Amino acid sequence: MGELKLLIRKDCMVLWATMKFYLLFLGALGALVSFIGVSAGMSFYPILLVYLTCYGLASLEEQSCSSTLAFSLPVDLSQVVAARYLTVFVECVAFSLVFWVINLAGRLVGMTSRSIGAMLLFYLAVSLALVSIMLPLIYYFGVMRSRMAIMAVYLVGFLGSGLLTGLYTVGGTPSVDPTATAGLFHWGVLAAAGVLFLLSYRFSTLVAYKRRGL
Amino acid sequence: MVNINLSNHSAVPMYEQIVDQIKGQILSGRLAQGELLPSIRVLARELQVSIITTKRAYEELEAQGFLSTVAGKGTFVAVQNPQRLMEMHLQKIEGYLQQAVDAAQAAQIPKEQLLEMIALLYEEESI
Amino acid sequence: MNTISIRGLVKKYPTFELNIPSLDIPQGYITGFVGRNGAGKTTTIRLIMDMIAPDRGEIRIFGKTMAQNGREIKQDIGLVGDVSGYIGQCKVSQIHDMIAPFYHNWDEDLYQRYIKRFEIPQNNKVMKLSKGQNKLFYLIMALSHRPKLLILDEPTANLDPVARAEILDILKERMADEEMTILYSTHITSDLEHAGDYLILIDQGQLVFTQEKDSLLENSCIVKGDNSLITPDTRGIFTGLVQTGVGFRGLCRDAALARETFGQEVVYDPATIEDIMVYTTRRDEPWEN
Repeated sequence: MGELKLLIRKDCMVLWATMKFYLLFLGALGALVSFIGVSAGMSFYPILLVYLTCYGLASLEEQSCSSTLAFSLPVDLSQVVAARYLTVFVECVAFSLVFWVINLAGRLVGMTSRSIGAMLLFYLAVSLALVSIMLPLIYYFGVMRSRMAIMAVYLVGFLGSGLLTGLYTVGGTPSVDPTATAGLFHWGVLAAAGVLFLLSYRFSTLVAYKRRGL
Repeated sequence: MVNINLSNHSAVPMYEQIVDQIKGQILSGRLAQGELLPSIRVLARELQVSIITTKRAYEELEAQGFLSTVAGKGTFVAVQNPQRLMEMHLQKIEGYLQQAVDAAQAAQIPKEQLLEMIALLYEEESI
Repeated sequence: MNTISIRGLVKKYPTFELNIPSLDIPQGYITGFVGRNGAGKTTTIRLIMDMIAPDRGEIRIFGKTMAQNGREIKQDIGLVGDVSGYIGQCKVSQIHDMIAPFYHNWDEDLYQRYIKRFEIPQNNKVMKLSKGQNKLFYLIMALSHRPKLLILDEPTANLDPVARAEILDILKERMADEEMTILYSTHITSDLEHAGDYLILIDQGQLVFTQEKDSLLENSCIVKGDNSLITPDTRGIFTGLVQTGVGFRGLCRDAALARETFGQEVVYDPATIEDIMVYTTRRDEPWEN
């Protein structure tokens, strides 16, 4: 168990050491954009951040041939995969929360706090769904070869979320105003994303062990 | 302090060279009774030979009674019947000398010449 | 007691097959693992470290298998492969902070002593270190948790002579201090000339021999002489024979036999590990008179 914590700590230390300026810059950009009130269209920002850190971390590791390290540390492969999923989960939650907080300030531009809450769930769901698809691809193909596939998934995610956001604008209201069922809908979507995430973790563990044979 | 110089290209195997040199220094008194010798690993590193070689040398010397190893402490020059060991050494030398004398007599080489040759060899060894 | 025990190991690739029926790495000694590039050294090491799975066979380390006790075993293994896997953009101190806590036996004093002695700049990013410093850092990290087994794969490749000497010095010091088992895989055979205890030669995925290094070198010689001396009888004593327009030279693994066979008519030279590797594994054209 201690090893899991150490692995997560390692992932976070690498993230912080390598990407903090990039992340802060994007965070500031997203904040700025949110203040201007384009929060609906900027729903891809947490998705973008997650994409960068999840994919970016894997890419850095592949460049540095970190698999050697993963296999020489006194840990099981399943712990390595579990730690990555936990780190990514924490990132998804963190970024979604950050944007939720930023968007709260968007109340200034007339959004209701309920709709902003719905946006939080929405960010989180889409982030989780995206990484659930990205991570097994990375484990199977490696970062370089899965770039194209990842691009495609991201595009679908972007278009999809844009489409969903568009669907929300019923009756011409530019912001989301969920009814009770819409609230359930949001929680439902999040739960589905959570299940997808767990399935993805199981699948990645299997893939990692199998790929090891090559 | 023990002094060992190995020749990499001698016909004598290296472990044997180590055995001979340590034995000689014990008998000549240069290595005192009870003196601590380097461990086989340190010796291997300093002589640049494999640990197997130094291990074999120490084992041989132990079998012959020149060294003894105390677990946890190291390898010491054995305080075991030094007179007897010197006798053994002298007996061996006598054997060699007998061979030299036999060969000299067979070739009708006079005693003085043989003695001269021995003197020369001693000088060569100390260079 | 053998640190590593390999039985019936088979790993097939499209163009290469590794086949090791039996191999033991004895505890407390330095075992050199030599062979050409592509002979199978790195594949064997990857199999030992469980980085790839074999098609058949079993590998035991400290008497246990990686499948059952991987985490425990790796606490006592230090690996210095050809790449460290450390993220280049991280600082030396950060890498240390990330990795040290994993090991129960981490010796911080030892780590600091080595870092100071070799002047590894702790605040530099790993990618800014020179090749030599990079390898030294990798080795220091591997040694600082006091492993019982140290596996080195081409540790001195691409290093300048000074860096190479520093690496070899550290290894000799550690061997003098503790009963570590070292598996040293390299094609730079001169590293092992004065430091190896056992020598394993591998070629085209097969073991050629496993011998004590000192006795191997003491009993081997290079024989050089006139081609007329090579007859179907005499050819048999050579492990590797090269014939040219001006004479022959060959490796004989039994120097006494060579002297008996040729007497004073030839030149005898001591063989180095490199000679043994080259003469044993080279694939030459037969010489036409």
